[in-house]
Amino acid sequence: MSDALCGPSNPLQQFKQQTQYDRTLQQDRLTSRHTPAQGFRSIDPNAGLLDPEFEAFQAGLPPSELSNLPTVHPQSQSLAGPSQPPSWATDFQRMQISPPPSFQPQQQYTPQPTQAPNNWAQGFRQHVAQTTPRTQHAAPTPQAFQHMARYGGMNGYQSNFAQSSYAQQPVQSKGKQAVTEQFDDAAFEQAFDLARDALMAETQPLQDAGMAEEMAYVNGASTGNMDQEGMQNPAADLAAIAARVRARRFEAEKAAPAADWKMQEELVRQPDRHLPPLSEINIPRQDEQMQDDTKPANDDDALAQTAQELLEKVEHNQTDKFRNSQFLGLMRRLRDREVKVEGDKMVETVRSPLKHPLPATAAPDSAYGSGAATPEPDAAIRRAAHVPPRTPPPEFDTHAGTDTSTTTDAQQLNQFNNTEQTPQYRGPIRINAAPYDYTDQTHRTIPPHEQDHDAHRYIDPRDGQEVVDLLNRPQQVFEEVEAEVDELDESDERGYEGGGNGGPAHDIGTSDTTSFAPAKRALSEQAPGFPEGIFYGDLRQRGWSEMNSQTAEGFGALPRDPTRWERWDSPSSARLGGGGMH
Amino acid sequence: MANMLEFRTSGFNPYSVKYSPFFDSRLAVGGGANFGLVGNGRLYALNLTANGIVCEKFFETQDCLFDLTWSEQHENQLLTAGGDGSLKLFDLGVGEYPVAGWQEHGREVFSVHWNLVKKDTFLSSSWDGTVKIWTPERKESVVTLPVHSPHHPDIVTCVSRDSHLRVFDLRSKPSAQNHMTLAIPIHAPPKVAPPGMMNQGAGPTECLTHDWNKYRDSVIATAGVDCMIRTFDLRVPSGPVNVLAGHEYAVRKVSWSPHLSDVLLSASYDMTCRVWTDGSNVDQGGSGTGLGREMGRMDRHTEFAMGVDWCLFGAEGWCATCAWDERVLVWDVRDFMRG
Repeated sequence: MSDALCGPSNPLQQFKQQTQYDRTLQQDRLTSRHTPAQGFRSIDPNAGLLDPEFEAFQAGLPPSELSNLPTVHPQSQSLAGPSQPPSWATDFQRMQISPPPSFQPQQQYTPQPTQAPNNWAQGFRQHVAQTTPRTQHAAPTPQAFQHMARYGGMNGYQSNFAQSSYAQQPVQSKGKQAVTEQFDDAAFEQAFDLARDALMAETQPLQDAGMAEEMAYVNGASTGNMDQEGMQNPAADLAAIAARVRARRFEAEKAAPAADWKMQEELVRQPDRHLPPLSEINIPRQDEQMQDDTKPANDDDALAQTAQELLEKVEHNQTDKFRNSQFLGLMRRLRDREVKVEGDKMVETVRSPLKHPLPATAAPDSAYGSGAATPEPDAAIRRAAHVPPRTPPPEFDTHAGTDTSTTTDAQQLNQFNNTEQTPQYRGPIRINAAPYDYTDQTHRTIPPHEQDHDAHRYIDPRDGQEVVDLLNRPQQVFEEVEAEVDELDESDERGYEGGGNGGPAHDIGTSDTTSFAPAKRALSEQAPGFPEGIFYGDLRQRGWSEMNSQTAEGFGALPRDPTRWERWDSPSSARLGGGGMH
Repeated sequence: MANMLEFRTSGFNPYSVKYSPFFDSRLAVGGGANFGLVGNGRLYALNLTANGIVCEKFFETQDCLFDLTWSEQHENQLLTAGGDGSLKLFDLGVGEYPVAGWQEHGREVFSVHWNLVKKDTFLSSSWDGTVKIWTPERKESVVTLPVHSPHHPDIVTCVSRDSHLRVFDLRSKPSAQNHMTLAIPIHAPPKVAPPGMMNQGAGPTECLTHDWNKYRDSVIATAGVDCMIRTFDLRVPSGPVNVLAGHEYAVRKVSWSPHLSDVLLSASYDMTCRVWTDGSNVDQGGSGTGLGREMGRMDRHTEFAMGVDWCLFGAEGWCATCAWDERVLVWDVRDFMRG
């Protein structure tokens, strides 16, 4: 596939690739398998046709494989018209001229010259022009979206998938078809690159002009304009607000001295170094101050305007919820310039605006975002914004009875203060993300908390245990056995001498479990049948194999850590298991 | 009065809430001050107890946390998506700082998701227009793409503001189109127009969220600023199977039920959370297409509802929602179903 895509397409090579695969097993699996979830699937007239294809997709078959599936395409048989000339142009025209809304395949065969430009490159350029920021106010024509849909779906898989599902492709001409499709892909790849280059070229100057934040949300703005019902996108505006505020901060961070980053890295690399708590580090961020001073009120204007837009969107909504919304209250204040964003904070501008945050001796309740910690003098504003004074909420509460309005300390509220929620220092992120230093002399082994992170590997506790056992136990056992045998030899001699009093072999065979280790018992159970001459050597041989199975059994019976395995298993079974239906 | 538990995240406006996949009583909430515009973020680990919801621990972060996801590998770890472009891995048992962090995104990270099948990977998507795939062991991202299937470890989907649902297959060649195998126009007209709803030729609108159905492995639901929830079947990529209309403002989050194959929950800027069926449940007479309907709504939140998540354990209706009213509510969907 890959060389077919990259190099010139060669039908013979293609054919070879098609035939090289052994598909028998896969096909067996695909045709015979019925997933348990099928019962839940929607009853779709196409389901029978599509399932194998989708499963094949999931199973990772290459696209070329898909069309070979032995699925029945009743429509395709009847609809297979005269074979088209293998020109990519006609192919292209047939492909996705209009998103097929229904099962009317004839429609797809009627070329629509008004919608399909003769020159696809031109078409792409058109598309690019329509989506570039310069023309963002122009409502995109349906054509543009068809272009989008088309280039998006022009990849090999999709074309196969979608087309065969709609039975557009005559199955008979598959050999040729595949080749032309490859060609299509290559051509479109080129066109895609071209279009992207063009897009980049157009956007570059804008970005260079320092309008990154505008750029990033140009899409959002344009979608906003596209909305027919203008009321429905507070989300977009919200994102725009956040973006403008945040874009500014990102710029500030970019301007942060490199030393800052270096320090961060250093801190990260030295896990053992003691770090002072966050509150003790308090380095003033000069760059931010600078930003604030040098940058005029453009951002504030933009913000106020965005807030205004958002408020207009929800203006008509006179429900209590929306009128009392604290967020919308904040938006109102942003619009009215009573509040502005300064660096990392929302700052009051109605009364003396504060350049610097207050010391951290402030009230615990500084939930400005919810309109709670605003200074007392602006109670009127708060009333105007329908923001009720709020008490610091308890740690938790049940739904009943929390809405008690309480007093807030007047002297605490004399000056606006949100130091609690403001970072003292946005410098080094103290994360020890450095890889563990295994060469560290103090820790020669992998620390226990890291040992289990080997995901996806089922670590059988028996793994390697046999070896360990063989290294540990047999030694001991054989020493015992040897001692036993020595003893036995002696007693044999004694027995022979003394006239067979208490046969030694018998002695071993019936020896009690308490007196021998399990492995040894196994040995001895084997033992009685053998003549003495074989006994010792055979004991060694048999003993080993016997012992292996014994230990294996023994460890299989070992209790595993139950909670551990349960936890590993539970999420997947809970989420993915087929059970749990009502 | 429906039985409902509440937790106040005072001073912080939550953006997302997630149940732990390991414990039925543990959930995490991430949010930021000033509605995420500026200021710090905070990550709460909450416990459901007989006395209500108790904060087990919280972590302070330097920027708003837009999303979070629990580690599928470790019951104490969770990953957050930060407004400063960083991903951070927190361990509830370790200190007050993250145990690991990744900083590659150029802008706000808006979504993170842990791979439910191949549990050593997770991914993040950002306003810088990229999706990155990571493993906890490496400091650098594994793959960068220009949200995850729970059924297949290598299939990634994402929705974006250009109104397309893109499906990436990580097994494909990286050269072709950066793994992209499918781009579905979300605004395409539905396959079968639902009765009573004319095809008004809706233009593309920003898509904000999507979720994979937990049972039907080709079904995805998407939602966005056009107030509609749409379901798609990847086997029929040309248009939505179902369109669920009803929300008055943009839909911020959708989540399929882990218990019922046809039920999904949504949170919206209209300050409600709604329960839907897409009408696919054959047992209840559904036939699959065009018959989705709203089953109930919860409108206790008094600000934009931002996050929803279902409890994986126990009875099938429990869920947690959070909104900018600084509240996390844990409630039973069945209490709000009509009829």
